Amino acid sequence: MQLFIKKIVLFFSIPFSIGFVFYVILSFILSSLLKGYKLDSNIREIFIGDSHITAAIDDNLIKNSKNLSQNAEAFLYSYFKLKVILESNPEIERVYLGYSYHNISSYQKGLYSNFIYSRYFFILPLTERIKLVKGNIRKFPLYLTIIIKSGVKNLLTKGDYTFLTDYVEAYKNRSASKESMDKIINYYFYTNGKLKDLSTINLFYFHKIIHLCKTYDVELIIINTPLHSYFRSKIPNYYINNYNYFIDINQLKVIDLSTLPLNDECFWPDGDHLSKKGRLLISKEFNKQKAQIHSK
Amino acid sequence: MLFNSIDFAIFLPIVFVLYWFVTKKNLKLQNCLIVIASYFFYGWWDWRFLSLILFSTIIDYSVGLRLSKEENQTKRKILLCTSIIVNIGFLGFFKYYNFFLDNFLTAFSFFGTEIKANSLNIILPVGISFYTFQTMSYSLDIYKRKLEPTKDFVAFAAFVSFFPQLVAGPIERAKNLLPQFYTKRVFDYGKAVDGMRQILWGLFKKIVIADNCAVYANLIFNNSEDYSGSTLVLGVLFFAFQIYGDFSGYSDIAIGTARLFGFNIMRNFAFPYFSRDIAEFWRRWHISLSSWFRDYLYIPLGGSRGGLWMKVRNTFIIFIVSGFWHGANWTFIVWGALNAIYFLPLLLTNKNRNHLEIVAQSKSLPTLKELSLMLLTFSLTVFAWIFFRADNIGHAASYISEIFSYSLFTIPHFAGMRKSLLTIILVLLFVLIEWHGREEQFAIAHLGLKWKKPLRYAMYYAIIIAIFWFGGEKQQFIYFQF
Repeated sequence: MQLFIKKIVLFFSIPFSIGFVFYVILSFILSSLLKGYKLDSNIREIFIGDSHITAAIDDNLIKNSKNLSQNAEAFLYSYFKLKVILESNPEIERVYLGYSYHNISSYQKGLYSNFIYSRYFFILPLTERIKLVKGNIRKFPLYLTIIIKSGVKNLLTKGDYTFLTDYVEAYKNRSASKESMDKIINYYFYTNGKLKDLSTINLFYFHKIIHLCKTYDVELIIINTPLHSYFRSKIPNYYINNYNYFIDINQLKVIDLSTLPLNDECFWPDGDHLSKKGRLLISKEFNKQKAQIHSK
Repeated sequence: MLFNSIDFAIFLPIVFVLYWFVTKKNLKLQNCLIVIASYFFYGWWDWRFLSLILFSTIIDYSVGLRLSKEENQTKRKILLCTSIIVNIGFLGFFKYYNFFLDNFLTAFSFFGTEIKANSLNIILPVGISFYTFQTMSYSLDIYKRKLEPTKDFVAFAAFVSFFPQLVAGPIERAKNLLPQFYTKRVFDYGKAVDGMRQILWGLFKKIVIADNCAVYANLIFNNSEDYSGSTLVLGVLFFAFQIYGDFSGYSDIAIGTARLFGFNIMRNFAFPYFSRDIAEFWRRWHISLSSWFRDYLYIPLGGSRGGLWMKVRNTFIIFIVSGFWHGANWTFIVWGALNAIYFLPLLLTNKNRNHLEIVAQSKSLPTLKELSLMLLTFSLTVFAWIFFRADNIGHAASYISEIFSYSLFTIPHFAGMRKSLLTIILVLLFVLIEWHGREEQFAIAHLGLKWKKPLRYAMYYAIIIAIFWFGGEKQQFIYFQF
């Protein structure tokens, strides 16, 4: 019996020890590699946010800019990503942050218990990494593998790091549909017919992003991302009022693209992500509004 | 609690240590620990349904004791009926209530009578089909005087709820498992190591093979109208390996876990995809269920004795009931009936026991004839899986009609096709290992035992790394829903 237990403990402790050493080395290399991430020297403006900004802005059409937004990116992760970028890219002058009504809703459950957030793992401080591991503890073996896979991918790709961006053109032949919009409105703003609470964690990191930009002396401009008119008409006033309140108290500059009249083909079925056609139109419109805001 | 979860990885060593160190000297205490651990294991999913297991245990324990004392045949029948009604009643209510209700309503409306009745939102208790069958076999065996009832309630409760096989089998017989709770268990190093190896192989089958195949099988079945015939064939092949890896993987983990605690539970799978005919397939697939139906349904109905009509009737009954056991859906009934159709020609020509030994025994490769028979049997099985996996009969019919269209001769294509190549390679490797170990209890039972230690350990570590590296998104064991 003792022999069995001894052998089992030994058997499992070998890979665990090797794994731990491997993790420490990987973590050390990646932390310095990712935190030293350099953008092209001509980049002066960056876009940060979730899939709404990814789908709305084509950085090829906007001079000296880079769209670094990523699908499902909560402000918590945007903050740490921005911190890494600003630390090693002092030439950045302006940050455009995608901030729409859904961003202040608590619809995004499990900001720590989700596999997709493993892509930020190696840019996070230890305390946040522990929260991520704890959030996925019941799926720990699989989560560990995903972290290691993400680490190895970061190590092998030259600059195409997992925490950066991931634009994929979706829904090629589809346009906005009321059914999908109703579903997504309900998902963002309601639980069993009642309004969802505001997200304290998102608002906390929203304010941290504002503070971070001030620290690095970078101009922060909010982009209220495009919305289908039907979608916009369904947003509860509670969210619109709170959204405006946070803009006003922080005295933020805003480029409001949410009220622009766009036809159904410019959207995905959900009415709050742009199609390729919409992306092209909005990127051009963005340039116009940007010129106006800077001429003031 | 899932076998492939961190919860189980913590639970198992704790119970193991308590079992062999704290309760080692007292058999009763050891059985008590098994009952507590098993109830905890089950209650982790939903503690409310523990009452069903407890109730079923009390009923069958009491019925067993009364049956052995009772000589009056009518009263004995009443006692047996009590056990059957309670167990089948649970199963009927939780699993089949809505199915029967919906079908009755449809039938009445077909004849022009509208009846109002609402379906109930019933949660199916995990493993109910398994433990009810296990307890019923106890009462049936005592009724037939093949088994003496136990007077030890704790041992009986441990037999009913034994956690390794509680939620997805193998469905044990009281004759085999119950006596093991009466005798002192002695730790056997070889048996425990063998158990660990079987657990490792079970995890590989579940996490690497089944969970990866599930991704593509689900994708293709859930969007079958978008795909060509050739892609649909690929989809059902993925499902064939998903269900085999999933269920046989679970059984391996269950058997291996039981061995760690000094128990031998029956084999549930014996390399069914290497069968040369459907009769052999059913001797090798879900053995504990097939033999349960054989002993408690097929033989009492007359088995293969009697005339042609009797044989046909009994074959259809056993296969259809077996199909219905899997779920309250017409798809399972058609799946069962289809297997009966496959099986009948063999039975009627007395060829159903032609292949009792494993294929190509003591040889490396099968003969051309054996290979052809294996491929034919596999194809028939895979075809039947379409009904098993489809959402309804219409879905299965459209799936099949698309397969038998000109698009069968196009190149398969679906989102993630390239990624699936890795899964296909893993499946091929898996089939090779299974082929190599087909004469053993499980594929890696003896693999590497004669190798040098470092090489053998390298193999174990390679399997562990594969489990971690190629592990797909965690899926629930398919058979939990049955």
